[in-house]
Amino acid sequence: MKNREDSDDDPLEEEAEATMSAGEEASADVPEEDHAALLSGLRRTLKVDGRRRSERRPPSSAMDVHGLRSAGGAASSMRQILATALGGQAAKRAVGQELRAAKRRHRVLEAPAKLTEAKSQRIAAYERANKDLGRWYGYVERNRLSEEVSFPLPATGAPRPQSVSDYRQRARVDIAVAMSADPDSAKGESGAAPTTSAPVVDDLESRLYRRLYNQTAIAEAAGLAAGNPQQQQQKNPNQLDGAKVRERLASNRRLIARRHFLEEKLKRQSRIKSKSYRKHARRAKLKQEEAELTALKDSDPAAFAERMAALERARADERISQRHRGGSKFARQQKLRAKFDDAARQAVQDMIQRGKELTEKTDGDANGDSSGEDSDAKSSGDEAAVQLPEDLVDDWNDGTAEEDKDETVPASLRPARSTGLSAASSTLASSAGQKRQQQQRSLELDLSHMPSLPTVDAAGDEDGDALEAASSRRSLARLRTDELLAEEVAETEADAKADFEREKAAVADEEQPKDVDLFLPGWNTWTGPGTRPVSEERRQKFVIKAPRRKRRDAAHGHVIIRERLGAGQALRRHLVKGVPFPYANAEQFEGAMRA
Amino acid sequence: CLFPVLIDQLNTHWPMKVKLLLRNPQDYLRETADDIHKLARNPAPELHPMSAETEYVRALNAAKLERMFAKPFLGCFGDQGDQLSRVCMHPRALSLCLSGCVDGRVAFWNIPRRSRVLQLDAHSGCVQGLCWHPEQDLFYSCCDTDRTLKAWRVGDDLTEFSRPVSQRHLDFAPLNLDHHVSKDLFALSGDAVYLYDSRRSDPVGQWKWGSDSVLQARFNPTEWHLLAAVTKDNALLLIDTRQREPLRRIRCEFRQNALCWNPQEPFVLATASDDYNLYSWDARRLASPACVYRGHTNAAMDVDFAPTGRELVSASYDCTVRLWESGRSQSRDVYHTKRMYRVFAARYSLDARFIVTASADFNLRLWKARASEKLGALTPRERAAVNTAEALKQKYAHHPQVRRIVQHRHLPKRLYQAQLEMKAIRGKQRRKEVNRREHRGEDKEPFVPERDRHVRGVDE
Repeated sequence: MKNREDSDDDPLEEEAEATMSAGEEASADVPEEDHAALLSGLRRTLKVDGRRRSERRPPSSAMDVHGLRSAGGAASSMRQILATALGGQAAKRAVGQELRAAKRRHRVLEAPAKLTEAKSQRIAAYERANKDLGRWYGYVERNRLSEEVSFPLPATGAPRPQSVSDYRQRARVDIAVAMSADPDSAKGESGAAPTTSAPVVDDLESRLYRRLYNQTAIAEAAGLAAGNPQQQQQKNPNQLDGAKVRERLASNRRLIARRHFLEEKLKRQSRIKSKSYRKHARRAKLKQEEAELTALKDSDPAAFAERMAALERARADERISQRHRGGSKFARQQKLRAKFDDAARQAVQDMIQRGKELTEKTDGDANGDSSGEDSDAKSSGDEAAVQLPEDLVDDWNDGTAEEDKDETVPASLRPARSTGLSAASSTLASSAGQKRQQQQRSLELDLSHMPSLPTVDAAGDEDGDALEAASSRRSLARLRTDELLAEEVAETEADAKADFEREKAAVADEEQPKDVDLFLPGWNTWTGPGTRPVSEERRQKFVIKAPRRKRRDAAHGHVIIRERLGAGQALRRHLVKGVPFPYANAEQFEGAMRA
Repeated sequence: CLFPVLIDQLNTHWPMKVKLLLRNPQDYLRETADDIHKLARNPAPELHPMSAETEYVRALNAAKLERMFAKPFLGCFGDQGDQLSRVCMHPRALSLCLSGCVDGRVAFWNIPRRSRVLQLDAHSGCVQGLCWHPEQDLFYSCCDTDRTLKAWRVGDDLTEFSRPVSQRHLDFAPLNLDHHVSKDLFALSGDAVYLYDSRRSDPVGQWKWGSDSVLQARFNPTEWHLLAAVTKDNALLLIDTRQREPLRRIRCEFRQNALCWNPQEPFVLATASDDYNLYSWDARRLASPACVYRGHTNAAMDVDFAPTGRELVSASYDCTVRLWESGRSQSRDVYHTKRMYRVFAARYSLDARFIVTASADFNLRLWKARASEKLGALTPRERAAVNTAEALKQKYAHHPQVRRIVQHRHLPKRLYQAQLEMKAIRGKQRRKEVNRREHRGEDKEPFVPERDRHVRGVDE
């Protein structure tokens, strides 16, 4: 539709053509003059704007780049424009105008008439099909709105036999009937094709066609119904041998299935989390690798060398890194390699040794530690992979030497020594972490101008030495305040905890549904003195127990999760949230629900 | 008073006034001694202040019972030895269907007995097309490997089964086959759509648009001259057999694997797409699909309309069968079993109550179209109970609890996960769109409805 509006074609003419092509062939032999006259007459009577159909013209020798020649008649020929352009401003303006006008007139060539005609025919045909389909709209709408649909089964369906034996029996009976009625026709029936099978087309037309186009394949196809199928199979080049095709298909399917099974198996295995399974799998893999390597050594030395080179590369990588563990994947591979290489065995030994040294627990013994470091430096020095520049190595050694001087005492004691505190406080400090130490230092500063506690005084008097007494007093005072502070914190914490627990219990109590006591007060009590009061057992029978619910915050000691169980809350999940689709407002919906 | 006029007349003769009280014994008498006692019930609304609540609970219970009785799987037809590619229901008999196998065998089934009536070694490759003659006891089968079209007679004479009654060698590989509703014409789809007359050797019509081959072409069952076709280059073609060229081509985003016309609504057709969706199209407005059916988690391989025209069934590569209400984008039900593999074909039975599916696990399966429907005769009371339950479920369908129960389906983990994943992907895309719209403005990023997102263009 859109294209039809765009095109310059005469709409009337196009429609006439469309109907002509769609209609009978009889209208095709109307003379062209008559047709043109008819169209022009129609145009006059209907007052249709008769725009001209665009045509392709043969190329002319004159220069006509932008359609300038035909644009403005004699005044706008290129030569004249160029001549006037040499003049003043007015002439330039004129040229500009001309160019703009030419640009406006410039158009892309339209598609050839053959294509546009085919398209317009398609569009017209589609519209006709639309119209045909549109006729069903009322029926369809009625059907959609109706409560029931009727779709009767075709009445022509004959009762069917139910099994092969039924078939056989019926077939026998039928053949017998046919034989007795008309033996000739029965014979003919058994061999000949039924009514809808393609009969051999052997009329004059088809023979001519075959002779003209020599289409043997078509001739074959036509004659196949009566012919010998084996013979035809040989003639048809496209047809493969049935058995071969089937075999090929089957093998393809098998391959696909096998791949699929393998994929599934691997997927399944990758999901197994069992440690023992993993261990076994690892060992099996290692064994397999080992076997492969030994096999390779004999069968394919080049590949073996390559594998060994890869292992060597891995070893070098490992040396660069800091992983010197015995149980790593790398180590396992190295052990495997060591089977074929003595040097590698030694390297593995070294590595394990070094790993042990590195992971050795550092005790207070500074000498052992430093010696370990030295040996490390030595061992790393002879490694080819880690070749540090000499000046860097010197720096490193200097640094360690200075550190060593400092580290005559364990690292944890160093800050204590620098502040000049006694051993008693320093041991305490060493037990705590670095953070704690800093805290202590700040505490110490605060405490320096605090009055000393009496117990501390007593301790100081006992000592005698004034300086030492002062220092020890101060340290003891710090200890004491620390304890006090801790106690205070603990107390407030306990208070807060108790408060919280009380609050939590109150909330739980509030949110727990209460038992309902249906025992009416006064029952069995008004009959006067001497009667027995109701037993507790009997009374309890009238109490309906509220269900005990597990609270969501039961497992979390530090949280209260309120579960508001008002009537509205419990009902909320049963309520419709918005107005559902066919209803316009809430009133409508409520009305529908009430009905 | 029941007959005031009559009684007035009587009054003129008799001075006595007659009062009549009519009672139906069925309202207060039991049918048998074993029956429950009938209770008189006063329907006055003020006596039943909790009637609305009672009704709601009954609706909830009806929904739960529906799910309890939802047992859609009726049976499996037995191992066929290879993957099944096609199913074709008999056009007149309810109980018969054909199945086509990948290894070229065609089997003829009795559905209620789940027994194979006969089996033919029809072709040497995958059976690509299978269709019945609408009036005679004939069916056609075609195969792309041996490039033949064969007609088989299913009459009473067993000798006819062993070989085809007629056979054509084609110079193209046929990919599907459909028979005209009434005439002796059939449409073969291959490198183009070919229309064959069964009495002529050459095709009487041929349509092609683009270079790729046609996967399936089907006749409109009502407007017989119309054909729709889906092609390998993701297009949907509309063809008028009276025209030399196809009418229109719709270029879709993904390949459409199968198509089906609505038997009750002549301008509606549905296609099963590779992008996991089904689409329904209005042939009069092909610029965008009329509805997008979302739910599968892998390509939809086949689609079929129920004979009522109100429901759809689709077979999918995700090993499920889904049932849809026409025009609703969410599926009504999803069927799966542990052993059912990729489903290649699904067809409704002629009474719209059953579904037959063909899958890659070599089996043909029979399902109920309504999962919780009771098979067999219903007593009047049962019928009444079923109707009441249906009415209640319909009335309370918008209530969240009822909807939750009715919609709930237990799915295998992989399907459930795939659904979650698709949901996440969709959510992410939507969020991104909204963000972009907010950032760039409504005019630069206009909202595009779901229907308009799947069509690349329409060629006229």
